[in-house]
Formats: sequence, structure tokens, C-alpha cells
Amino acid sequence: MGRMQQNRLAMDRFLASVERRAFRMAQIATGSREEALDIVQDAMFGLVKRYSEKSEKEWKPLFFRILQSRIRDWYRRNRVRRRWRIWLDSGHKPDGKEGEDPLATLADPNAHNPAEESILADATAALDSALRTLTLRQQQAFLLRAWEGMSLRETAVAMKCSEGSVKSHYSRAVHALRNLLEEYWV
Amino acid sequence: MSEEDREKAFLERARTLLDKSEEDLDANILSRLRQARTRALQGEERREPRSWHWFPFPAAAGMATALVAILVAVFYLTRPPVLEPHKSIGDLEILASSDQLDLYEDLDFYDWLAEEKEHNG
Repeated sequence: MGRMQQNRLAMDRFLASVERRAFRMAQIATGSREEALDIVQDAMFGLVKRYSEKSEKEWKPLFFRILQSRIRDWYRRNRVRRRWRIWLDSGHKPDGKEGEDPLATLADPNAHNPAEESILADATAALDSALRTLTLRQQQAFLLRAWEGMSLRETAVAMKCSEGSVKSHYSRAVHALRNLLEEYWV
Repeated sequence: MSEEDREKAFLERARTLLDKSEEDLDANILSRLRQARTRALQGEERREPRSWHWFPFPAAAGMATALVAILVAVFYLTRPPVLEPHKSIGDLEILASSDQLDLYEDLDFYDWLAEEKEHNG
């Protein structure tokens, strides 16, 4: 088997190992399956196009760096659209009320639900909603540190910021999430 | 239970839920991720972003852009900033950033390599 073919197989294995997590990170950030798929696809293209010749151990930090950049790009583009939509929506609401509270989907701690799957789905939906109340930087820091298990240094590389910023964003994220969710979970 | 233990338990619970959500992705998403991976490996050109598919003609896109620019200008001139005040400081860092990934990604990579060498060596 030629070197190129081996490299391609290795890249295929790597992308297969990170694609689900990447999709979920993008989905949490955007709230949309379609946008998340676009972002993950972009990140895959970016990695293959620019870095497939780099050593395999460098792929993971680079992939997550590209992914987070794509999410930030999406966020910047959509910030204007979102403000515009909010403005239009508020025009239909004389009292200027905001949209549905994202925490409205939090599971009722007193609710009786015998199906474990359903309870898990509710808990996951609550976690997603709570994550979406964070700033994007806090959300990124939390998902990369707490879920992906990246070190402070790797997270700083992925987020293109200092380790001090990561610490601060992560700490605020954990504090906010515990405030929102802990009483439902413990 | 100590504060540290409570935080540890909370993080463990969050990880478990996130792992489960990853495992439970539906077949349609998995299939589309597989297709995206295959396209990336084959080096196929990426399709146009979905958000522009509804603009069939460049002239229409130009007129729409001009209209949106006018409306946005009116919006910013006539209304104070609204909503999500708790997010604004964190967002500022992202919104103020002018980094263009396509232009700087390679430079970033070499910066990163240099930092790695410094850090490890």
C-alpha cells in the first residue's frame, strides 16, 4: 500500500473518530442540525486540504482549532441576523417580551417519568439549553475542557486565546451551569 | 459531600449525557457525516453555503444586500442595543476579532509549532 493511501486511511479513521463530537459541539453552538453539518464539513475540508501531510498527533488540536474558528465565523455572521430577527419579532409584541425562555425545556424535577430513555433525553435537552445560555467562549471552553478532555494549553490553542482566558471562561461556565442544572440532577 | 466532590459529580454527569447524545445521533446525521468525510478526503469542492441558495441572480442579491444595509443602519440608529446583556462582554471578544481563518491559518500553525517546540524543549 502506498504512502498516500495509508495517509488517506489514517485521515479517514481520524475524521470518523471526531465527527460525531464535532457535530454535537457545532449543533449546541448553532442550535441547528443543518448549520452544524455545514460547519463540520468545512472543518474536515480545512484539515484535509491544509494539514493531511502533518503528523497524525497534530491532527486533533488542529481539527478542533479549525472547528472552533468555523463556529466563531458562523456566530459573527449570525449575530447581525439574530439582532435583526429579534427586532422584527419585538415589533409584533407590544410589551417587548423576549422569545421563549431557553430554560423552559428544563425537566421538571417532580415529574414522574418511568422511561429511563425519556428521562435521559430530558436531561440532555436541559443541558443543551443551559449550554446555549452561556457566551460562546464559555461554551467552547466547557465543551473542550470538560467533554473533550483537552488540557488548558490545548484548549487555548483551539480557542485562539490565552490559557488565562480559558481558565476564566471555563470557571464561569461551570459556575453558571451548576446554578442552572445542579438542583435537577442531584 | 465537599464542594469539590459536588463539582466532580456534576461534571461527570454532564460528560455522561454528552457522550450519550453523541452515541444516539440518528442514522441520517451519521450518513451525512460519512458523506462529508468522503467528500473531504476526495478533495471535492464544497457546495455553496445553504444560506445563499435562495438568491438565484447576482442582481437580486446585490439589491437585497443594499436593502438590508439600509434597514440595518436604520435599526442601529433608531434603537438602543437590546437583549442578552450578560452575553455582551463575552461576545465582544469574538465580534471584535477580525481574524480571517483562510488568510492566517497557516501562520497560526507555524506559531503553534514554534510554541510547541518552546514548550517541550
